[in-house]
Amino acid sequence: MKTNKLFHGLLAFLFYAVLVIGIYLLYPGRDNLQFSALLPFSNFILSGWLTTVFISIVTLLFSTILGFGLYLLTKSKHLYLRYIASIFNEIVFGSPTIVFFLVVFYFIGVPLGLGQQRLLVGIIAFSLYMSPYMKNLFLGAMESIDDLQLQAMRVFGFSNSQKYRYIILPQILKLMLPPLIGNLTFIVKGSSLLNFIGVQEIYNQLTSAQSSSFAVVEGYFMMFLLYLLITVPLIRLTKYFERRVSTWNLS
Amino acid sequence: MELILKNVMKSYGSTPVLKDVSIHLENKFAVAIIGPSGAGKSTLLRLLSKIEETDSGTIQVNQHVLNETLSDSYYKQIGFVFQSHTLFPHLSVLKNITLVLEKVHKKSKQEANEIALNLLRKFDLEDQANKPPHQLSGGQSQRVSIVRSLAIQPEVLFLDEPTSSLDPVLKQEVLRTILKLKDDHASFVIVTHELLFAKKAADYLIFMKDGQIIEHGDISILAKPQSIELREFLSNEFIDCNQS
Repeated sequence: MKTNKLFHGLLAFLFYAVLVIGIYLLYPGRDNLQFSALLPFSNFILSGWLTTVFISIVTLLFSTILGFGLYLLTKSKHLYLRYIASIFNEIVFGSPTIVFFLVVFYFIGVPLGLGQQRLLVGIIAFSLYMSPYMKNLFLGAMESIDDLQLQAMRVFGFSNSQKYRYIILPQILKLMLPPLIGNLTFIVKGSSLLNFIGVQEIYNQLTSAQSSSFAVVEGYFMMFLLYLLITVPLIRLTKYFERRVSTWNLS
Repeated sequence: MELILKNVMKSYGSTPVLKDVSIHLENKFAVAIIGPSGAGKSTLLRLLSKIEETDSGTIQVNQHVLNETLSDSYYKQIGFVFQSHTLFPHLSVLKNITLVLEKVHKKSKQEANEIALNLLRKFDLEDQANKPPHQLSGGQSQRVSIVRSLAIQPEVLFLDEPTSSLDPVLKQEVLRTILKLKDDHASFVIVTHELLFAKKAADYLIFMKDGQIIEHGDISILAKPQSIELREFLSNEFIDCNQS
C-alpha cells in the first residue's frame, strides 16, 4: 500500500517535471533567462513576502471579528440593524475586489488622513471586504447548534454574551476552522491586489525588482513560487482539519 | 407549589392551542399533565416556564405572576427538562452542570463542583462526571439533564415528556430518577405519556384534550374518571398497553 502510494507520487511528480522541462524547451528566450539577476533584490523580495504573510494573518483576524459583528447585526431584533448589514453585504458582493480597495483608499483612507499609511488602509479595506464572507461562515456553523440547545441556554438564564462566549463559540469555532483556513488562502491570493493602492507586498516588491533588474519573466515565475509557498501548505492544512473535524463527535 | 391560571389562551398562527384554560392549585408537589397528542400539554408547560408567552390570560407560579415578571429573573428560579437531552456537547458532564452554577448563579468554582458532584453521586452518575456527553447513553444524558436542572435548586422543575425520545429500557432508568424527585419532595410539573408512571410519581393529575383542561384531581381520577373524554383516553391507553 505504502510503496503503491510512493510509486504513484513519483509518477505524478514525473508528469509535472516533463511539463516544466517541455515549457522551458519551448520558451523562445530561454537562453536569456537569468534568475540570478534577482539575487541582489532578495532582501527586498523577502520583505514583500513577509508583508504578504503579515497582511494575511492580520486581515484574517480582523475580518473574523468584523464578520462576527456582521453576523450579530443580521440576527438583530432591530430591523434597521439588519438592513445596515444587508446593504453592506450587497456592496461587498457586488463590487470587484480591486475597485472596492480603491474606493476604500480614496473615500475612507484619504479623508481620514491615512493616505500615507498604505499598509494600514490596505488591511482595513481587505478586512471589510472579507467580513461578509466570514459572516457566512458564522451563519453556516450556527446551524449546527440545534434549537433545543438554544432554548436550554435561554431557560438557564445565560446572558447573550455568556451564551456566545461559553457555549456557542467554543462549539462553532471547531467547525469553522477548515473554512477559516480556506478563507486565509483566499486572502493570501487576494492580497496581491493591494499592490494597486501601493501596499508593499510581494507583487509590489517583485514588480519593482523586475524593473530594476530587467528580469521580468524570472520575476513572475518567482512570484508564482512565493505565493504557492504560502498557499499550498494552507490548502493541505484545510484538508487536514476537514478530516479531523468530521471525526470530532459533536452530538 | 402554587399554580394559578386564569383564562389562558394561546394560538400558533390561526390554530388555537389553548382555549381558555383556568385552574387553581395549591400545596401540590408533583403535578402530571396527561392527555392525547395535540392536547396542548407541552404548550401549557412552555407557558408555565415562560419559554413562551400567553396571548391572553394570567399565570401565577408560586409568587411569580408571569406577565409581570422578567423572563431572566424567573428563569433563575426554575428548571426545565426538554424532550431530548440538551447537554452542551463540548463540555464534560461536570462542566455542563457547573457552568450554569458559576456563570448564572455566581457560585465559586469550588462550590459549584461540590454541588454538582454531590448530585451526580446521588443519582449514580459520578462515574460519568468527566466524560463528554457523546459517550453517554440516551438515558444517562437525560438523567444528567435532570441533574443539571436540579443543581440550581429550582422552586419548580418542569419536565416536557423527558422519556419520549428513549427506548423502553432507558425510559425506566429516567423514570426512576424522576421518582427520586418525589421522594425528595421536589416540586415538579411533568408532561408525560406514561400513565402508570404518572400514577406513581404524581400527587395531582391534569387531563387535557383539544386545548382544554377536561378533568383534574388526585390519582383517583384514573380509577374513577368522571368525563367521557378521560374514560375514552384511558381505555385507548389500556388497549395500547396490551398491544405493546
